[in-house]
Amino acid sequence: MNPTDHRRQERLAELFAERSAWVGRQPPSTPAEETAETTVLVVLRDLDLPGLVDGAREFAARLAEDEAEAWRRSWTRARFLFGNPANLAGRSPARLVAGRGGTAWLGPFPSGRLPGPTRLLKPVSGELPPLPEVVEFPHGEDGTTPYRELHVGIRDLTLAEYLVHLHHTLAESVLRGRLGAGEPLRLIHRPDLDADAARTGPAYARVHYAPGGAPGLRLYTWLSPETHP
Amino acid sequence: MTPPTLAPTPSGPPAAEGRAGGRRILLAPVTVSPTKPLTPTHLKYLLSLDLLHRATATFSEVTFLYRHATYAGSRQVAGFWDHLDRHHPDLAYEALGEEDIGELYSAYHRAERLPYAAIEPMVRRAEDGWTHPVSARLLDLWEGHYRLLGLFDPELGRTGPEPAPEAEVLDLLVRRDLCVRPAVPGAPVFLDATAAGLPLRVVVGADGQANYLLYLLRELVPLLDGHDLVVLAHDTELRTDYQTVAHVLRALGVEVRLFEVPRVAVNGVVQSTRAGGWRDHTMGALAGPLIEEFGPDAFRLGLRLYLVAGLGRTARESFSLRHLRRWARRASALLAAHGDGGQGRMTAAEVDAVGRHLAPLAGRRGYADPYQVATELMSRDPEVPVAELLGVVTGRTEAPRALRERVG
Repeated sequence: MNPTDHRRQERLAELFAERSAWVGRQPPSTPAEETAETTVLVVLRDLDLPGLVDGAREFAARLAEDEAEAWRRSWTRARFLFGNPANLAGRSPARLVAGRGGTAWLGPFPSGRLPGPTRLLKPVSGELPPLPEVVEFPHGEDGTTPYRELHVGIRDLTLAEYLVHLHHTLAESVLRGRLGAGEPLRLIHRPDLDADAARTGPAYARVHYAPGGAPGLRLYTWLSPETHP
Repeated sequence: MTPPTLAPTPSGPPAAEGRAGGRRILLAPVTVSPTKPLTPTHLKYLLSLDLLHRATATFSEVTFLYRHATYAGSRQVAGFWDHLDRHHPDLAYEALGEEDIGELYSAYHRAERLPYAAIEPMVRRAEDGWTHPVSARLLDLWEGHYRLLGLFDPELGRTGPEPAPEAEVLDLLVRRDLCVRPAVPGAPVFLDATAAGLPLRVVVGADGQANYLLYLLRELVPLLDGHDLVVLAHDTELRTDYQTVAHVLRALGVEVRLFEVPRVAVNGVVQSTRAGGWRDHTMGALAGPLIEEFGPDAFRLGLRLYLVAGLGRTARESFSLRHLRRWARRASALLAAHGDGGQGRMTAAEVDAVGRHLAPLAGRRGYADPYQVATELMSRDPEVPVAELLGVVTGRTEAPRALRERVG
C-alpha cells in the first residue's frame, strides 16, 4: 500500500469508527457481525428512487424517540423485500407508503418476531439497473433552498447492496439531524467515490468493508455539508 | 369486478359441450406432458376428468381446455426436446415404444441441467408451435390408449386456442395488483396472491424463463369472459401453485373451484414419472390381459371404477393389478345387469334424467364430482338412474366420432 492509499484507509477507518461510536458499539470485524435486535422491513414493488429516497427520510423522521433509539443501536438494520404494499394492507399495515404506493416501510420489529405476512415476500435480488447519473428531489415552494448532494459509488453493487448503503445513509443522516426529511436533495451516482473528496467534513459518510471480501474499507456514500445561508 | 379485457385469439376457444343454457363451465386441467409413459397416476387423472366432464355436461355447458402445446415451452418439455437433439440426433422416434421414451426422459432428468440460455432456441421453436418427433410419437401412442380407454376425445390435447401474448397477460396482472414485476435485470417476476396469505410465486425466473403457470394463465385469461365457473384440475403436489392461480382468476372476476387428484402409488411408492417406477404399469402392460378376459367395455368401466372410486379421493393404497381385475369383474356384472349399458346414442330425455339427478348432488360446487358419480353407479337406491348414468359414463351421450365436427 502506498502512502496515499494508507492515509486514505486511515481516514476511512476513522469514519467507520465514528459511525460505530454513534451506534454505541465496537466496529464490526466482518460485515456479518453487525448484530441487530431491531429490524425495519422495506417492501418494494420495483426500484422507485423518488419513493425510496423521500420515504426513507420521512420514515426515519417520524419514528418515536424510543424506536429511533433501538433502531440506532441495531445499526439501522433494514431488510428489503419484493412485494406489493397494496396487498399487505389488511394483514400487516405499513407504517409509511411512498412513491405512488410502490414502496412501504414496516416496523421497526424485534428481529426474531417479524410479522407473518412478510414471510410471504421474497428478498430483493438481481443486478443494479442502469441509473441516471443525477436525480433531483426538489422540495420547498420557493425553490431557493439549495440542494444537498448525496454521492453514491455504485461500482459492482447488486441492487440489494445499493439499497443497503443508500438506506443507511438516508436514515442515519435524518436520525442524526444532518439531513431534513423535506430538504432538496441531489442524488449523484458515480462508479467510485473519491475518499479525499469526503475529507472536508461531510455531513455523513458511509464506510464499510469492500464487497466480495476484498481487503480494506470502501467509501460508499457521502453527503455534502449543511449550507448555512 | 370487471372481466379482463384480453380478446380471445382468432382461432377461438374449443366448442362447449353439454346442456345449453346451463352454467358455462371452463374445465382447465394441467396437462400430462407428452414426454413419458402414461402411468396409473395419469390414468386416474385422465379418467377422473373424463367422468367429471361427461357427468357435468348433463346439466351444464362445459368447455374442456386441454392443449399440450400450451406447455411445450416449459423446461419439462422443451428442455427434454433440447436434450434429445443434443444426445440422440439420429434416433428413429417413430419406432420407439412408450417405455423407450420413458427411459430417455429419466436419463434427461439425471443429466446436468443446462442454463436457460442454452435451451432458449428450443423454447422459441416450441412456442412457435413446433412438435418434436418424440412427442408426436407419444401423442400417436396415447391416441391409441385413449381409444382403448373410451375417452371422450381420443385426440385429446392436440388442438386448442392460442395463448395470449406473455406481455399482455403480465401487464393485466400488474394493473390488478396480482403480479410483482420489478424492472430489475436478474430479478424474477412473481404472481402475487399474498392478499390471500400465499407466498409470492415465481412465474418468470431470474434467467428470463417463464414456467408453466404463466403458460396456463396465458391460455385461461382470454377465455374467462365467456364462462361463469373455472374448474382447475391438478395433482396434489401442485396445490399451492393452483391456489395461487385460483386467487388470480377470482380477482379477475370469475368463480373458481380446484379439483385435486392425488398421485397413485405403485408398490407402495409415489414417485414422479421422471424417476422411473412406471415399468410394468403402463397401459400396454395393463390392458391386454384384462380385455382378453372381460372384453373392452368391462375393462374401460372397471378401470374407471377402480381408479376413481376404488382408490378414492386420497389414493392411500397402492395400485394393484389384483384389485383392478376384481373391479373389471364387478364392471362386467354391472354392465350385464343394465343391458350392457344400453346400445346406441342416448335420447335427450335420458340425458336430462341424469342431469336432474346429478345437478343437486353437484350443488354449490357446480360440477359433478367423479368419485360421487362412480359410487352412484354402484348404488342400490331405486331413485338412482343407474342405466342412464352408465350410458353417460361410457360416452353414449356423444355422437359417434366419425360424424362429429372437428373442434379447433
